[in-house]
Amino acid sequence: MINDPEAEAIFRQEADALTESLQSGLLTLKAAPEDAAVVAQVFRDLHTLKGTGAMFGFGRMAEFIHDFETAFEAVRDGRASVDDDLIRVSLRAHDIIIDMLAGDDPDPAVEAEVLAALHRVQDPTGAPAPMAATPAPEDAGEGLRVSFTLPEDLLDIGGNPAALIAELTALGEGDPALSVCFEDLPPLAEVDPARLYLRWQVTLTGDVSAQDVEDVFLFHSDRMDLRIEPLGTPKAAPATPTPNVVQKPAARGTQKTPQTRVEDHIRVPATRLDGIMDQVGEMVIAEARLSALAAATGDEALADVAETITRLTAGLRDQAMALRMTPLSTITGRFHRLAHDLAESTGKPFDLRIVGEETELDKSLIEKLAEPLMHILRNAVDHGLETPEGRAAAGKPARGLVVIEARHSGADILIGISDDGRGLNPDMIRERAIENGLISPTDQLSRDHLLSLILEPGFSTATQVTELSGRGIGTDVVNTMVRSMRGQVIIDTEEGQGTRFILRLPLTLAIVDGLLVQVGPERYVIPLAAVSAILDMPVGLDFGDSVAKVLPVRGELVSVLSLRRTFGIDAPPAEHPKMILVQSGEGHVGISVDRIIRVEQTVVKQLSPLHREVHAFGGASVQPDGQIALILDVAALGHMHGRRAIRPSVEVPA
Amino acid sequence: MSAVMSQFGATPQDHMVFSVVGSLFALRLNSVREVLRPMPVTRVPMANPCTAGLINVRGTVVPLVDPRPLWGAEITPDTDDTRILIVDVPRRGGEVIVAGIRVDLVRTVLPVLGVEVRPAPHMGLDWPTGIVSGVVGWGDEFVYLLDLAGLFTGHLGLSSEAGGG
Repeated sequence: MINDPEAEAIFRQEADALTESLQSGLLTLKAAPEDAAVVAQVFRDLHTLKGTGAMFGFGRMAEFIHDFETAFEAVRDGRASVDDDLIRVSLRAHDIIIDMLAGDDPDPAVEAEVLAALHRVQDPTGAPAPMAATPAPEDAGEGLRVSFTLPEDLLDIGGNPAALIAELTALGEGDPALSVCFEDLPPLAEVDPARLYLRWQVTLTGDVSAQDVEDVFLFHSDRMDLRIEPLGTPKAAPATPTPNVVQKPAARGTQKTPQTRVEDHIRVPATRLDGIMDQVGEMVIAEARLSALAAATGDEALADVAETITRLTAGLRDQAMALRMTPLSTITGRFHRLAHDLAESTGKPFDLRIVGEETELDKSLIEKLAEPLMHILRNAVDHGLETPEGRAAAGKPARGLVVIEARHSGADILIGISDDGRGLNPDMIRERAIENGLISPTDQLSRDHLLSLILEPGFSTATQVTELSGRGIGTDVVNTMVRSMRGQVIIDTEEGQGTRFILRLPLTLAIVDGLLVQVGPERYVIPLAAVSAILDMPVGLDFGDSVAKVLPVRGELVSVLSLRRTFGIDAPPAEHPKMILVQSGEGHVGISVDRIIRVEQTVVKQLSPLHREVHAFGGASVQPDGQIALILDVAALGHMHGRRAIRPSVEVPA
Repeated sequence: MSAVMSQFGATPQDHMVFSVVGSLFALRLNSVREVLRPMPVTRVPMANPCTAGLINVRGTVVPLVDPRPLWGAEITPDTDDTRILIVDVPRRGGEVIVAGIRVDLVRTVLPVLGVEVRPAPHMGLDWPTGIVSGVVGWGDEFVYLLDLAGLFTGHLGLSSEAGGG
């Protein structure tokens, strides 16, 4: 057993990736039970988990996986087939593995039940294994010539070339002609003993079909070059070639393909990436100072260097950002699993389609996104989709459809979750909001505003709390989480046609262009992306005891927050305060500050978990003079005060 | 008690002794990263008064904890003796949170043997329960061993789960 925290951390990361891959493999098999490549993948994941698990002291888990693996070995070898029962029990087994990895002991009864079910797979009572019972004799002829190279890294993944060749040659009658070609063998000094370099040619006589041959290589077919020709056809190569004769440049090419496809990956602790990001951020700031200095002195040589540094810094920044980018596909496995469970528990069959899985965004965002997305998915199925009968009555196909779609839009990423269910009824939302005191019966709200009310705390669209949506987080928490990522939730619905939630998020949280402002002795940063305009506050406006006032701004009634009062800053008001108009939700909110210092690019330092409850800030920025300035979370600020400001009677200063 | 014993064993563990509102507390030396003199503190509006500060420790933004409100005491201005202990707060899963704790005075480094540690009384103390793991006698004074995890998760709103916020 290895007892090294760093190695164990790597094991845990790998185990997470493997269990995720295992789960997604199982779910793929549910849809395509015959997909041999996926069976092989599942088997490999289990095998690796078992091996490394045992190394790190998860002996009990390794034993459990062994039985799980044996079941899939039976499937791989054609002694058992994939059906819904197997997938169901396998998913439960997967959950048990997760528990074991977390150090929790699974319920022995559940474990025993799952194990028993897995044993039944390996040893079905009586029934012949279906895959073995499906030979494909149509290609039968007098024989085949088979020429192949195996994947170079076959040995790494536990393959056995000798066994494959034995299996292949056993297909023919009598002694098969077997020859080997050294064409691709590198000079001895360069030979890696763990790589496969040889091309094989086998002549099989008798009643052999191409399908039989392909079955032998089932698990490697996508990564090898396999040619099968009937013996009667003109040969591309002599039937019994002497070594060196088979001359196929194309074969060389195809053999190289798997090599080029394998990218080198290095696992790096996320903290190191954060470290790089911090340094790059500091450098961006230093570079700005250098450029300013160069411009001020007018020294051409210095300006030249400054320009080069600017270019290099920008490149470095982009590269560092790219390091943190992770495709959405790293979390979509969980959605497939959830969809599977939801369809079973609600009795609403539906398809989950994910578009744009390759869309990349900041790693820290991806992890935070999983929970809100899963909640929206749960809601869409629970409240959005109708029962099959309801769908039939509405003239819709019996199976529902939920689409998760991700794409980039400028510096933002958009993630939409749409269902083709019953949609939202704005009138019902209105009634409910009045009932819950969110709005008053006389309030005139736009349709968008009305829809956004379902994101408010204390609003629940379902008249009864169901088992599904009762657990986990509420829709208001989805909203809060997305806002904490400087994002926005937009709702679009068509009654009877479905609902779409759109999450708009910034691509990265690491660097932000900000407006540095001052209130009394304190300085704050307002993200520039949110700023619509900078205006003078009306002369003589006194906030008195209130935190916010509603003012007419450019023909719109806007609630304006006094940062001084909101943050309890003890200092006399400035003579000429400014109002910063920021976008918040579908409207504007004004923020009153004493003075604007400058626009700056700043590195966002995450606040410690100790400040989790303080929603007003999205992070902190270290100023060139060493002071810390907090970065406002404009959406959260607007959210905290927007409603409160709209309710009191509207005061318009003359 | 037995949990405390097993942490220490028979070899003495060095502790840093400091005072907060007139009582002596100690932290294991290996959980204290450094001791800093008072420095400019950025106020965090709308935060718990105990955690309403941020300090810049060589480019890293570190939350500053002032435990005085937990003792029912007023926050007082810095004195010549005020120090900031930069500590590692353990969370489940091996993660640590770095935080600063403002203390009135740093006294000494004291080797503590496991056998000397007695359970802390539950009542009659100036501070809330669950933040000390034991007490040792030192001359005619008592030194309370501070339980960082208990202090931060029990009274400063830190969730014990790693990544939980």
